[in-house]
Order: sequence, then C-alpha cells, then structure tokens
Amino acid sequence: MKKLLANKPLVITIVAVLVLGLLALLTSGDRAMSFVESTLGSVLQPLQQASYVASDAIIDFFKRVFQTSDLDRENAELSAQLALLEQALQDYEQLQSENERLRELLNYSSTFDNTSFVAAQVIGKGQSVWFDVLTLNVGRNSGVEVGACVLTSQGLVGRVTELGATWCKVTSIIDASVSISVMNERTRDVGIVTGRLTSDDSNPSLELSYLPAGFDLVPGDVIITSGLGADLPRGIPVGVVTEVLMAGEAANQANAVVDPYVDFLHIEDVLVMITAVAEGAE
Amino acid sequence: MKRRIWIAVIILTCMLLDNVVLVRLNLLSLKPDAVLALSVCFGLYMGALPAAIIAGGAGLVADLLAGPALGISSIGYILAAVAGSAFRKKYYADNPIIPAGVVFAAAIVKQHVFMLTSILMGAEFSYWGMLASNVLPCALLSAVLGIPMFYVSRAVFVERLKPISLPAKE
Repeated sequence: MKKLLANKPLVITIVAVLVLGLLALLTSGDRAMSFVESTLGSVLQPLQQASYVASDAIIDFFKRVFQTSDLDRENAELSAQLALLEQALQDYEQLQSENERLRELLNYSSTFDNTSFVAAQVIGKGQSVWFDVLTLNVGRNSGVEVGACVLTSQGLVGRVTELGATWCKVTSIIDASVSISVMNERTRDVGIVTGRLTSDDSNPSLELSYLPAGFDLVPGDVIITSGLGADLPRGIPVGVVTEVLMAGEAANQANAVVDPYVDFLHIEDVLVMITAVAEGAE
Repeated sequence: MKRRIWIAVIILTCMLLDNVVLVRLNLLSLKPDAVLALSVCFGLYMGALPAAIIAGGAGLVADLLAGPALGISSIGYILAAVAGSAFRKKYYADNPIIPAGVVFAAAIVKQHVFMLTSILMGAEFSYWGMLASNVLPCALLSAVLGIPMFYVSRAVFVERLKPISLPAKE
C-alpha cells in the first residue's frame, strides 16, 4: 500500500479519474450550463462553426474529384427526378388546399397553434458512436429552453439537453439512452421508441417497444409522437416501421424496428420549438 | 515559448480534426481519435503530469463542445497520457511502434469508458459485437494515426544536433 501511495503519477491519475467521473455523473442529465461553460462555448462557437463549414467544402471537393465520371449520368437522372417532383408538387398543392378545407370543417385546432420556432444550424456533432449529440448555434438568448423539441421538415430530431447563452446541445432520438413515447398513426397504439446502438452509424434505426397486447403492426406503418409525458407535442413524425420483430405479442423486448425520417448523417438546419409566449406579455 | 505555441497549435488542430473533419467522414463508421494519439505522444516526451494536464483540458473542451457529459473524454485522454509517460526515456526514441501500441491499448480503454457511460445512461447493446465491429477497428485506426503524431511530436520536442564541421588537418 505504501509503495502504491509513493507512486505519485499513479495517485494523481486515480484522483483525476475519480474527480472526472464525479463531474461526468453531475453533468450527465438535462441541465442549463454554468457561466464558465456557456462563455467558453460561446467563445469557441464561431471557430467550431467555421471549421464545420470548411470541412463541408473540403469533403465536397474530394467527392467531386472522385465522382467526375458519373456527373453526366447523374445529371440525366436528376432531370427525370425533377420532372416527377414538379408533378408531385402540383398534386401536393391540391391535397393541401383540400386538407385545409377539411380541417375547418372538423374545427381541428393544431397543437402547434401557440408555438413558435427558431431556426438553427448544426455546428458540431459528437465524435463517438456511443452517443449522438448535436451542437446548435442558438441558445438561451434566442428563447430556447432545456427540453425544447428540435425537428426538421422531415420529422423529430431530438430534445435540447444542455443550454448555453448562444448555443445548445441536442440529444437526438437515435441516441441509445433516449426513450420517446410514440404511437402508430394507423392504429393509435402507444409504445416507446429508443435508439439502437450499432457499430454501423451510417444507417441509424430505432426500436419500438411496449406496444399493447395483440398489437397490429405492419412494415410501412408511420410512427408519430404520442404527446404523452408532456415532453413532446403529439403528431410529430418520427419514422416508419421496417421490420416487425414480435408480432401479436406484448413484451418488454423490442416489437419492431423503425427507420427515422430525419437523415441524421446529413442534417444541417433544424427548427427548435419555443414555448408559447402569453398574450399579455407581448 | 515557441514550443508552447507549437503544442497549442497541434492540440487545436487535432481537436478540430476529431470534432469536425473525422466525424463527417464515413470510414465504414470508424472514427480514429487524433487527440488520444497526441496525448500518448505528449506523455512520451513531456512526462505524466504536464501531458495529463494538457490531455485533460483537451478532453474537457471536447466534451463541452459535443459530448454527453463533462469529463468522459478527459478520463480517456489522461489515462492515455499517463500510459505514454510510462515509456518515457525507456526505449529507442526513433521507434514509432511502441507509441502506436500504447495508442491502441489506450483507445480500447477509452472506448470502454464510453461504453460504461452509455450503459449507465440506459443503453443496451451486444458487448462482443461492438468490441469486434467498432472498438478494435477504431483502436487500430487510432494506432495508425499515432505514427504521424509521433513524428510531429518528435519534431516539436526533440532538438536535433547540428553536424559539427571539423577544421581540416594541416
């Protein structure tokens, strides 16, 4: 024991590991950052953002260099896709106006009526495969709060877990430690979706569990947020069922695999939901 | 003073490389750790305490920018720096294999720290599957990255003697 204590580097290492472990434990939950962290992050944020943009340009350059022989073919394919998309846009506009008329008839009030959004850019991503954390360039000064919902036009991205003055960190729904209450849009069965931790993070997926006994689930079913737990509003698209694992049984093991709608590999711009401001305060 | 500036530049470059460039490249979902490799090399040339301080600080900044909690990366980097310092002045200084080997071992330890944190936060996964498909390949890539880091560190810390020109015999 005396020999152990006489080894200074070893003692310092053990003490440092214990202190840092305690720090990690204290900072692992949802929280607003301390002044020091927030200030340091704000100072480093422009550098991080500039590096993120620069890395985009560098990666795109190398991609173009290695893909020049495919450009002509890609051009023809894109032209054909554009024609199809223009037709789809016309159909969408017709459906949209019909939807608006039906909503008025049913006197449906959207859950997003009293909610506003702030646009944000992703300026950093977690390096490790074990966690999926995004850094955004908006914070407390823009009205963001801890727990705020983050989404894109495709669907749900995650929730704000750490908040600074001008930046925040978002834990995405594909993180294995995150659980979200969801429902099957077709059958209205409620379940829980969690991130799936795999070595291949180029194809992230989710696990759907805790569906009620005798659930009806088929590949292609759309999964949306249920609104239960008051964390996230109801109706935000989460993903689509790709594989049913335990059909017709309720269990605490995974019932299905869900592919998220959001392309987490190429996410750049997001919307952060801001809590509604009371009318009297305006 | 010049050496300190170089140390700061190298650390910042490696942190940007890790947190911005390497995370965007899709190398079969494998991500080498440049700061870890540098921590081992700094431990090799600076000793345990100075290298651990630098590595710990770099880890805290990395966690602050894009980590799930403060301190997790610092633990891995400090252990890497201390492991590197164990070979200080104890082997042939131009051999990059030993630092690469230490980087490999340190990367595995760091991945296990992350693994343990992930489990404590509620994640479930196959340990052996992740070990074989992610932990070991990432450690190998980090070890390969350790070789150029070793030469960069050597250029900063080791002063090469200039050849002496002897006067001609009369």
